[in-house]
Amino acid sequence: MPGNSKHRSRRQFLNQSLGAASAVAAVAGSAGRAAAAPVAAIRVPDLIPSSLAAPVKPANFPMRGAQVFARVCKEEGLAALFCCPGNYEVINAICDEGIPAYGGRTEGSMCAAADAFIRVTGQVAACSGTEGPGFTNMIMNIAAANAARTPLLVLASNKRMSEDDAERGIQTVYQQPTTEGMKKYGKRLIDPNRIHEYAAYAFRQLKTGVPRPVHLDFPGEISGARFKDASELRYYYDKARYRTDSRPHPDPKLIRQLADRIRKAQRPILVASTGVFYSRAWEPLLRLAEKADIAVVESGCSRGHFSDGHRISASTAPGALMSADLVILVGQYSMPNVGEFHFSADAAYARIDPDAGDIGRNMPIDLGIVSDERAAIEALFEAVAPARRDAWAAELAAERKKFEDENAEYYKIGRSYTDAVHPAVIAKELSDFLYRGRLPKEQTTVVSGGFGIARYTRRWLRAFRPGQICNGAYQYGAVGPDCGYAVGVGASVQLGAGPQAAYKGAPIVAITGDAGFAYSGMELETMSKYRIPVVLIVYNNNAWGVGSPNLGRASHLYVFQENLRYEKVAEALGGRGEYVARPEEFRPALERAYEMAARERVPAVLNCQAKREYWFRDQYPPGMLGKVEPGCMAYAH
Amino acid sequence: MTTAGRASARQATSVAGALEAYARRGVFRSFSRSQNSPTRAEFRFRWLLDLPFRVVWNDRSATLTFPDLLPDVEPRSLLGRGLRAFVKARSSRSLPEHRRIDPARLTVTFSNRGGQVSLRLRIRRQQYEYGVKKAVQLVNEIFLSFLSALHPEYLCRAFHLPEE
Repeated sequence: MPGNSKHRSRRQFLNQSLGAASAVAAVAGSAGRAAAAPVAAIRVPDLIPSSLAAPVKPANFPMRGAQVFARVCKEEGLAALFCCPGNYEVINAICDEGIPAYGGRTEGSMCAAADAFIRVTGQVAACSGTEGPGFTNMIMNIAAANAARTPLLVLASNKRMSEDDAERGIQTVYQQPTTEGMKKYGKRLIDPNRIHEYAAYAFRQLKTGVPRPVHLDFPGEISGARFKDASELRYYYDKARYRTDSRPHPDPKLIRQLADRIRKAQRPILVASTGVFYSRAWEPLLRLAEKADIAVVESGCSRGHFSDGHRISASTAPGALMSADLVILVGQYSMPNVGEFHFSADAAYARIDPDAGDIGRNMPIDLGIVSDERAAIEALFEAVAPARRDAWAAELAAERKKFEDENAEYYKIGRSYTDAVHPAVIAKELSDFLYRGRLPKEQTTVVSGGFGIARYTRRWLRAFRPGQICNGAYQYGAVGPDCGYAVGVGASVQLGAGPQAAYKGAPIVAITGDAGFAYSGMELETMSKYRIPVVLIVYNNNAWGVGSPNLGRASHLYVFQENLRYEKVAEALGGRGEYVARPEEFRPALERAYEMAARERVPAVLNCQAKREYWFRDQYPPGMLGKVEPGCMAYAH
Repeated sequence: MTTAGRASARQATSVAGALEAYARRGVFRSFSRSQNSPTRAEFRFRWLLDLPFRVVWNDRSATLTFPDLLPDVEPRSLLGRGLRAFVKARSSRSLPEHRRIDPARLTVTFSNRGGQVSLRLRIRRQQYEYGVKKAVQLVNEIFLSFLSALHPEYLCRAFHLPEE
């Protein structure tokens, strides 16, 4: 669309910018010959706040295909868009509808940002990239979102259908086969008149059943199609007609059976997983647990739908899990195999899940109930007899204390290493700052990322309200997206979306490793650009997370240069940073970073210098830690 | 059949029945039983981490043995010493009753021959169901509460599990 400013492409934008930059360079070149010119400060250009504040322009007929799609997104309550330029007509139309949008540095990280936004809000968000490279850059994080069962809307432009197989120009790829096995539903849109219909397909899948990503790709003929009025669109009708908000309810007979099993159990435990969060069942869950004194342990891609501070929480009582005689798995979409959850071989299993086709997979069950999680919990609340299980509650309390004592012992050992920062120091002192200092313990939302460092931080991080912890590497195990996750979680708190509403504007904390930082560290610029306050802790042990001290001739493959200065990357991108080389420096640096993030609304990196030998137990006990699932340490299921 | 023979058959049936109950519930998979001699039965199945397990029941000594349960365990290593202490602690009175092994009903010994750890459980007072249940519980806890929680690198090395 030459000459149409609304639909300028990236190339047109760059041409204009390059012209301006050449003029500046010419002036700077002549000045540079005379004397060293002062270096201009990093600043947010006026274009950013002015465009963010620009009036919303909802589309009306006549509309283009992209606008029809964007209008459905608005009507369906799409909570946010994270993207890089490309797929221009769609992302511009979504912005015009007033849906909050964030533009980042790589499509992959923006995909992770959308995933994390959803994981801590429960609201559907989208990511978008250009055809070919932009789309394929998202792949790792689409896979991560799929493993986490995230209702993520993946959008990408595509070459015009008229150019299929021609390799005309650049960026040709078939997208849908590439996301095979990583999505719930996908479609290459091929008939412009059916764009509304396929938008409906997408939201029907995103908002029902067990969630997973939905991937739509828009060939040029689709997003650019023109419609004078509704008569030119097929299947054009309201969402009340193309999908339903009704949910499957449990068989009352099976609920009575489960209530009877709960009555007979001495030590029942309910595993509250991903489906509890997405069905927003945390309040009914609390009522049920308290009525029948059922212990609750969390698992899943986010934490906080049952407070770690509750008398019958087992999330920080790993030693109690083996005592459970009845295990009720609720919304456990990523199913462990026998031996992956730390329960007794004698425990009976009940499973509540919306998908009958999944019940019985991996883990044998004694009772299966097909139901929406919230509906089942509400029905169970009505059916269970009130009970007090004081002995069970006392055992939980004793095991929570034992776990804290074990953590304290790890901290004591870690604090004795004085030449670098041990992960136990980071974990414990961060925990003290977040939950035992002047901040309300419910306030700070945390991206729990990294690999080796996470084996420590998970033990100390706590969740007291829904969506307080985004479990970074959940199930897929990608450590690279952490900074992308920080953008999404930071945006959710900035917007006060869903359960983050009460903490709107508060700084967040994100944790990553030096290996993970490499994949998405450039998103510090995105955080800075949008004034998202993030304290990013980088665990810098000069290496990938390797547990073996001697890898012989291959050793060089596993290590980096030592003492790299990631905090300077933050400074170079508009954020702040500190290098923390000694354990006693960590807490004061954390406090300064938090203050700075809160005051200046920028990201602040704490580059914590550790050493790779900390993972070797015989040299530096306790070394790389194991884990117990479910509960606060869980990340596989 | 003599009285002793009938008693022996009852013991074997009780032990087999208790093990088969786990198979019926899907905890043990691909379960099979073979009678190697009149007094010795062997059970094979897949269980934790989908690994193959072997259990031998000896009628005469009323012992249940998990032969070569754990490979490559140096007796004096941190792992070897820790394992010994962990097993001993399963009989500690500090554990709640439902988690504790009662030495009057079941005695646990383990041997380490060339790094191969075998677990031997002697059932006393004809407490066969109790003995099987506690034996299964012990092995479950060795894998989950001890190895997975404290020595994950051993599980990777010994059973070729992914390091991630």
